[in-house]
Amino acid sequence: MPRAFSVRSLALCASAVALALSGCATWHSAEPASPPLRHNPEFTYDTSGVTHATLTAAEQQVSVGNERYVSLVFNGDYDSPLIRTRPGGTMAIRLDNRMDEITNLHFHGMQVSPLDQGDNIFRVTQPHQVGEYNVKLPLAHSPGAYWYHSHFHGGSQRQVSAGIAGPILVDGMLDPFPELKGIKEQVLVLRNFQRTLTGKVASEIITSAPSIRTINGQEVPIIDIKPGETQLWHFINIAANQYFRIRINGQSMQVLSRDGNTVTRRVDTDQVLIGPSARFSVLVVGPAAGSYEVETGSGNTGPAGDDYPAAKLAVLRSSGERVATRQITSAYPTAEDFSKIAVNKTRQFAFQDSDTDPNAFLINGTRFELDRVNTTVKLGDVEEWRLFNPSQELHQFHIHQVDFQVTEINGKPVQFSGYRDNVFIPATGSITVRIPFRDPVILGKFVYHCHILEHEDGGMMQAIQVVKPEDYEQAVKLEPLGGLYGENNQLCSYLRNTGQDPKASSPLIK
Amino acid sequence: MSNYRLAVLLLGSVCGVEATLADDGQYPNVGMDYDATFQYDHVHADVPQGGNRNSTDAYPDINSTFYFRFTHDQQIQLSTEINPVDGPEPGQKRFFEDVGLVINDLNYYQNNANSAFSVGKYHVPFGRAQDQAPGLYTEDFVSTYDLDGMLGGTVAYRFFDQQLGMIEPNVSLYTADNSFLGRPYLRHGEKLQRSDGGPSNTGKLDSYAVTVNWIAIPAVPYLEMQAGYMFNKKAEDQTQPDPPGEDDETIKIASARYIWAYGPSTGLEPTLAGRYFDIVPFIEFADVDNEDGIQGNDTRYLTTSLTFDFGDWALGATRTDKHRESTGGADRQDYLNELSLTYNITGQIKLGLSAGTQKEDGQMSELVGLALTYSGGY
Repeated sequence: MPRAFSVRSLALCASAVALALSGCATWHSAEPASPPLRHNPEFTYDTSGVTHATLTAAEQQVSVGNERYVSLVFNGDYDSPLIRTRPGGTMAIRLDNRMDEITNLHFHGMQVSPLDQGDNIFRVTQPHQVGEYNVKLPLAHSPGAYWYHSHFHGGSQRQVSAGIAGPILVDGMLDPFPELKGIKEQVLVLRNFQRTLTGKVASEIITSAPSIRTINGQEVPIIDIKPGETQLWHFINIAANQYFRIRINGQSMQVLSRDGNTVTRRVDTDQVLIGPSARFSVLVVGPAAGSYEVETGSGNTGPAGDDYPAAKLAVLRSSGERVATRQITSAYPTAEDFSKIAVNKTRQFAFQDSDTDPNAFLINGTRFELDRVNTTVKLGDVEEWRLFNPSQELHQFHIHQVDFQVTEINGKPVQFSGYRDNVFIPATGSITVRIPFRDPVILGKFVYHCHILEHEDGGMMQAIQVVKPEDYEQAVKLEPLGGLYGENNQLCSYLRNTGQDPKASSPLIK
Repeated sequence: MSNYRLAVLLLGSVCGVEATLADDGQYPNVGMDYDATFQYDHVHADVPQGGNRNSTDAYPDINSTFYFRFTHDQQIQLSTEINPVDGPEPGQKRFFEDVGLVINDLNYYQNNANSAFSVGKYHVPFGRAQDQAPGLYTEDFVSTYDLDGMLGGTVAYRFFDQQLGMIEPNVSLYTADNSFLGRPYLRHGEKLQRSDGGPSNTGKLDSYAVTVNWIAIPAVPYLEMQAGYMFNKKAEDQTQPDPPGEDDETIKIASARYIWAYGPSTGLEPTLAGRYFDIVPFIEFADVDNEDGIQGNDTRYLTTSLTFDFGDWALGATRTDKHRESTGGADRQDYLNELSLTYNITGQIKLGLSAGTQKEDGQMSELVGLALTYSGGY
């Protein structure tokens, strides 16, 4: 055996591993007793349906699970406020940015106007300024779980990871199921916070780095239930990059809604796969008395992707007298199956990692450019988009303002069970979706992107404008200049670019 | 300072650095990426005349890239590498010896919506075997066209078509680095001198490379192809207008890589659970005229590899043939066979093992290597 391949080299090798593990990779603190699940602070709507909320974004010390970190949070808490609204309601949000950095808000999954003070991610709020949002939900808006978060391009990964994100509930999900009326609802906000040596939020997010995974800001809280009791759990994944693969030890769950869209048929599962930005609302029935671990499996997003370990998220504690289980007996709401109709246009999009720059991510060879529109769509059209992924890691497609139907995965048909607003694109695979651009409320400019925010910040995002059919030619011409709605996505820009009289009644407002 | 203390210092410094600002979308800012590898190589050389035929080398290889970002798209980047400046002599046994620091990149880099360019000291984007063939040693075997630390610039443009996919031409203009950036630091060693000769060592921007990458083709989305041409101007000798035995080096290259994934393993659940499986064949052919600027030293490289990825594991087999044409006697055939295994211990720590056989300049040897890498950023 050669001299250098000796005990000393092996010792050094072991030291290197030990250094990496102890100094950089893992910190295990003593595990305290599990606290009961706490409920998010909440803003709800008044009798006129308006939810007034002030979200004060600031850097301060907060509890992340059982540890203290200086982070960027809303209203002084890592557990951000829940904003509750209803179809036809309005969210009047005041974003008080007390951070030393730019930020903004996106109302994820909501079919609302992207213009002006609506869900307009082209607006930003400067440091120590206040931004106003006035988001009006259509009466037909789908009830369910949504969320709000920073969509500041280039900084969204870090801000969302730090805490600039929170849950939204649109009431009414149980209305089609009167037999479930009165069951307990639990909002379970899933997060991932990177551990650091400095006690401050990480400056560069490394998805595979050791982290603290929390529900409602808590590490391993106890969720109480009675044997036989039916509860509605809203899992909302507001982590910047991570997937959650959740099981309740030995228990099955019944999916009631995905991404704020009630499913159209019964879907049972013993595991929910919740991609970055996804929401699953599931019915959970209390098992026999005892404690059951709620855990997320390890995550591996492909040979070129991230790798993170499994974690215990919570404990389901079943105790007390057995109660009657509520079952769905009503018919599921129906929804149009877009796989049955002829589409107006088909497009292809390659979501790919850059071969030359590890920090660059591309859609059709392009990095996001703020002052350019990439895709123009006519209002009323239903389009088929084939999304393919030549990279050896997952991507997570999301489009603002609209829901879509997944019709194929890797070219194989998918049985229809409802709409989504985000979906994984397999590593070296493809997804086909059909998107209805029908609701006039979405007229305006918005984006589609990978919701692994590291990829979005790296450029895997494009801008889309939805225009009235008569404005289509003009809108296409204006794509390189920021599109019909101008750089800031405003109604006045639309009027100017279409040559209309600003005083005239706006077709967009109609 | 003993080699052991140096080892601990280097590894400790990587793990102990306090956080700085990174790319948080607020500009200007600074950031850093790094990877730290501990590598152990064992080479058994088949030396006809006898003697000590085993050489071993345990060493660090620490790559750090520092960024000073002006905007989301514009930055200055400085890449350094700490590793042995030269390889071991045959029969030599080394432990953290001859470790120095070299500057691989110091350039201005701009990546726009459809284009990218860099200017300064940089790596010439040419060939793929050095990055895509699995294993620890292929990169060195094809170093003839893997040009690091050149002075010059490169510009790339990405075209995309709904039928054709992405076509990315790339043009580079460069010369060898004779400046202070080309010398090793923290250890002995000299910068490249003009008098050392060699291709593109002219002090002028008169060497160039052109490549075209063709990828993301909708009909065959997992096929990647590259073709390229490189021209490295022969070194100029001021004492002789046309130095004998030297000539311009030219390299023509073509490669293809295909990723075949087992369909059922690409679902979301199997992927996340670490059961994603793919097979990646790769082939690259390079035709070199006047290698190293030596007239008539014509060679051909053929690299073929197969990689099996399964969750946290990657198994690779690579063979590189190097055929040298001889004007007089028989042609010479060198080669490198390499079998490698990589395991991701965590998302940030991976272990690589490699074993192979090599024939280089007529000498046979067996290689065994181990590399433990920790990656991170601030």
